[in-house]
Amino acid sequence: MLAVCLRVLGDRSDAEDVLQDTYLRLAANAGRYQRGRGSAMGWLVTMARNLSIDRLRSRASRGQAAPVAAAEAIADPTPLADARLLASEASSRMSGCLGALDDVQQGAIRSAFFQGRTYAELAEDQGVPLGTMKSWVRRGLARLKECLDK
Amino acid sequence: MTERELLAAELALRLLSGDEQAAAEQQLAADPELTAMVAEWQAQLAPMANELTEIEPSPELWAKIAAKTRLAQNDNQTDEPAQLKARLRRWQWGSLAAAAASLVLGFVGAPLLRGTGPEVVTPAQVLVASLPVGGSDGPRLGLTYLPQNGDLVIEAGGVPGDGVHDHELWLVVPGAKPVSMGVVATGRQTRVHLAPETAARIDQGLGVVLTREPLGGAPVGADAGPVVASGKFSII
Repeated sequence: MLAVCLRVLGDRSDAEDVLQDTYLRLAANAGRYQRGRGSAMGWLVTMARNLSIDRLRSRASRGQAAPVAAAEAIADPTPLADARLLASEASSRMSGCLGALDDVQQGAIRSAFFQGRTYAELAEDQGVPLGTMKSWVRRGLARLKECLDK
Repeated sequence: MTERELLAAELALRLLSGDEQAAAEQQLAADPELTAMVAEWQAQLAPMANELTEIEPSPELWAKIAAKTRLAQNDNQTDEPAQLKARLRRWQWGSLAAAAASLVLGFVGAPLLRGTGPEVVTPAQVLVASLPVGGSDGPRLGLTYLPQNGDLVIEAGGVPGDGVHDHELWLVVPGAKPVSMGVVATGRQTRVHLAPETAARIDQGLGVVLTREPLGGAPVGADAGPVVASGKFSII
């Protein structure tokens, strides 16, 4: 989970803050966390990622430059053998389905997930019109869903 | 896939910005079914995180989290019926334990799984204890025992010292003399390495007490001083 925060934020101390916040929320909101719907790990990943993105976006709106260099220094998320340690059936199915998408779709969805990029930012990254990016991602999401639900 | 399902996916991934995001948030507030769809997407997307190589939080961070989590839980106590409260507490710890298990596996289980020895080792668990010092509203001493290296992280940031006494930590072993875990440095966080024979005895449910002693700790052979705080180790 710390890895998730760090990917989004690119800064260790911010990531540690967010991780701490994630656990505090887990403790405080345990009543809202429904057993049986997804795993505790899934809840934590979602919370950690959302809090990281909140922080990233509030940092941007305060006019502070995001530490781009630090974010870029972290290697691209390539599945590693060690990371498989915790891989469940769900995650191998996810990698399979994600891997089956076109490169552009896959790349955009990964950047959105791991770095919290918005449509607008993704379009800018790739130098394509916003509408083009949207339809790439939407088509990718539809195919992903179809594959995951199979 | 319907337009609504796509919107749910976009919200889960947080792709929208500006006016679109604002409009989607409004829709979300009025549409519980959409909220449920977003939650489903979130759960489906979460396994992507497994692609990242885990980064271990430092033991110091763990200790801070453990101490703060305990505090937050105490703050949350309301005047609900005691039974409900107890159930909620068990539930909270249940989900924390499940969550922590994967992290613990990350840095405790990994070497065990890769281990070369034929012996089967049960992965020891991170244990925490939180001791109220000077009443239940007072500051707390947070303890986190890290089984992989036998270290005890002592979070005494909020515990003041008086300059003329030291505080000593003891493990209460049933049917035996309390085992000293050393003098606690007040006002800060410290990390001590426990003697292997002490570490071997630490277990879930064991009591731990903090006593007031002369500077330097309880004299060898003498009885421990007055107890100023007590608690129990539990699995995080």
